[in-house]
Amino acid sequence: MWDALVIDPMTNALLFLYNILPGLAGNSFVVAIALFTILIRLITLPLNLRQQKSSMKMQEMQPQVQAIQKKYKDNPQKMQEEFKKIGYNPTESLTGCLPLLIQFPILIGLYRAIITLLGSTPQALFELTDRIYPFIDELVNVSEALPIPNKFLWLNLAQPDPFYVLPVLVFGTMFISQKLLTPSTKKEDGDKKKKKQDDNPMAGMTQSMQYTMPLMFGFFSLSFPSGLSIYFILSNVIGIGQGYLTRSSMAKEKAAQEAGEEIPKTTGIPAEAKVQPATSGADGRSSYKQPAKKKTSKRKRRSAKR
Amino acid sequence: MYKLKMPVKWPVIILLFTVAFILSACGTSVANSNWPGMTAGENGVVYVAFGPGIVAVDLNEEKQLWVYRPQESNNSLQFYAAPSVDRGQLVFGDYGASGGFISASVTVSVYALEELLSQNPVLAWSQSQIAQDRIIAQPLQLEDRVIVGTADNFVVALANQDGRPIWNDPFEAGHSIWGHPIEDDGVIFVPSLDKNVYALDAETGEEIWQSNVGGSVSDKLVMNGDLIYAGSFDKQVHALDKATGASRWTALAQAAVWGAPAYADGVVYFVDLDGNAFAVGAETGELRWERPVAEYVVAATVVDDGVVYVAAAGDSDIAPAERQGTLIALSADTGEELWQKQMPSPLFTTPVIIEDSIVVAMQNETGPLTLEIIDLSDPDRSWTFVPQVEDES
Repeated sequence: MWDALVIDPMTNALLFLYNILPGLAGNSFVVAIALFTILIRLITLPLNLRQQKSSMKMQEMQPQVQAIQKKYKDNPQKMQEEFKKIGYNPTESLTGCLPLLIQFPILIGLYRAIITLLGSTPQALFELTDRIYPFIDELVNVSEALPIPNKFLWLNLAQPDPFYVLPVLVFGTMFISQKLLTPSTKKEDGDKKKKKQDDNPMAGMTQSMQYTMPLMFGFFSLSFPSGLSIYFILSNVIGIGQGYLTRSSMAKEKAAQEAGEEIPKTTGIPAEAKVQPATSGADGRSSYKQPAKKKTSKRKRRSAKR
Repeated sequence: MYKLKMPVKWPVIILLFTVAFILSACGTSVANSNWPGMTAGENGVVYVAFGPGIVAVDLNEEKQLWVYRPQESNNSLQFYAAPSVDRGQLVFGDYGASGGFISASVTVSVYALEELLSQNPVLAWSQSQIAQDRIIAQPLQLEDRVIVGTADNFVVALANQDGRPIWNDPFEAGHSIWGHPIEDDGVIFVPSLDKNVYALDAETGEEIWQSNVGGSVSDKLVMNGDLIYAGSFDKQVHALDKATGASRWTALAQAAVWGAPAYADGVVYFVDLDGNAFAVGAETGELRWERPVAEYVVAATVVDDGVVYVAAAGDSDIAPAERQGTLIALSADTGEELWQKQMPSPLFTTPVIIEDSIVVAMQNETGPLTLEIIDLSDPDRSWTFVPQVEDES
């Protein structure tokens, strides 16, 4: 089932792309992987954008959420009502992981597809002939196209990079990509930062993912076939571009919203905790400011006391 | 309920690690496997490379002589390339060992064993500096050297006294070498998956000629007179001039020709991947007969005493795990089927003729390595031997 639904379609798609694309440094399989990466990224784009926006929105709301949690810790029903008022849905933070989870079958499928296509043993190559769809067999002259060349620059695509260049690139690009997905925070001393992370587990998780993910994938790229590491790197580079654009567009939206609207809702929460506008720096990256007391309107202070 | 501390953070991180670990666990070269590699030796002994070791089986005595597993390997090494046996020395390569959990390097070794008919063969030498990818091809032993083709595209020459490299530089092809090289008059002929056949100077490793045959050559070459025959993935068998590499003739099949052809008495026999058997004239390539005999044939064709033997891997409509193999005997003159024998597992390994028997090696996804020994004078008489390759302890 897994093979029929995930691995075989990927294998056939890659084989088809490999056959129609021109070569790069004598190897069109790398070009096929690149195009395949772009296709996968396009397919998962709506989900990724949603996750990115949701993640940033959740981060922005955290001060308000914490204030509500603190205020209504003994009254969960009221807490829920207040969450609704500010448009906060706790389960949304969990759905933020969805694109990541959806990528796993893709990753595993692609891993198997690359290994299968490179057919690095007679048995692997024989099994590949079993997986090829008849119409692909007709479109591609499979018997002459196989086995796929395994050399690209200094790499054997079926083997890990012996010079560790790809694992370093996987780490670097994934780190930047994760960094762009994470709202920037000011430097804080250790205790303060830890306390903040304890108060705000979402931020804590995002922070730890920012380092854990790149380290983990960089580490495991030491034993991944080079072809898969190339997929990771290309995917991360596209993710970096996507992250940068999303941040810019969100910052613009925010700026437009702030310029044109008054903050609409009153929740009975101290105003200091409620307002946390994002500002856009010269590089288009957002930062979050603690609002100054003097900027809080009298009307809001009154409603807060009430 | 809304404090998303432990419930979110750790499960996600654990999940990521688990998936990455599963991915990486399949990433090292040692995880790959293949079908057995088998070679016939003297005195009724066959040598089979499969999984963690090489096993020697005395068919006359119906007993296992020995199994060789490198002591340091701790069962992590894999052997599938057919060993080469000549002048009392058995030479074979492994599939490589990962350099460690955080290392990208792979160590591949070639071994030479001696005292093959004793209970404990002696390791004459091993060489671990010549390849970064598997040894899939059967090595070729010459008088003073061993020629080894590697899956990382190299051909190397090692001294058969101590295993040191002889050529100044190894020869590099454009893709892996899976087929057994052959030699004639100081020239080595090497098939490659890069769609070329190469002729190399046995002394220096320098290229004499290369000939493009339009498709990968995954099995050994066959030689007769001034011609070399190569089965190719381009659905043809090519006859090349031994001196120049020029194409003399080609014979068309209906699918890729994976297994090597066989030569006997002025005729070349071959079977394509779809199981169509052909006999063509060795000098001109004209068709003598053709016949569909099986499905899925990757083993080399074997011809002996007027009979062509085809080892088939089973019906393509049946799931791989449930496929059964078939050994088919055809008349070399007419292609008429003489007999066929069903096997419990697919046959991928080229059978060997040893004395009055034909031996097939097979394994399925769950079962052990099994040898079936069939009496050529009466195919209904056969017996099974299950070698013990794994370390039971």
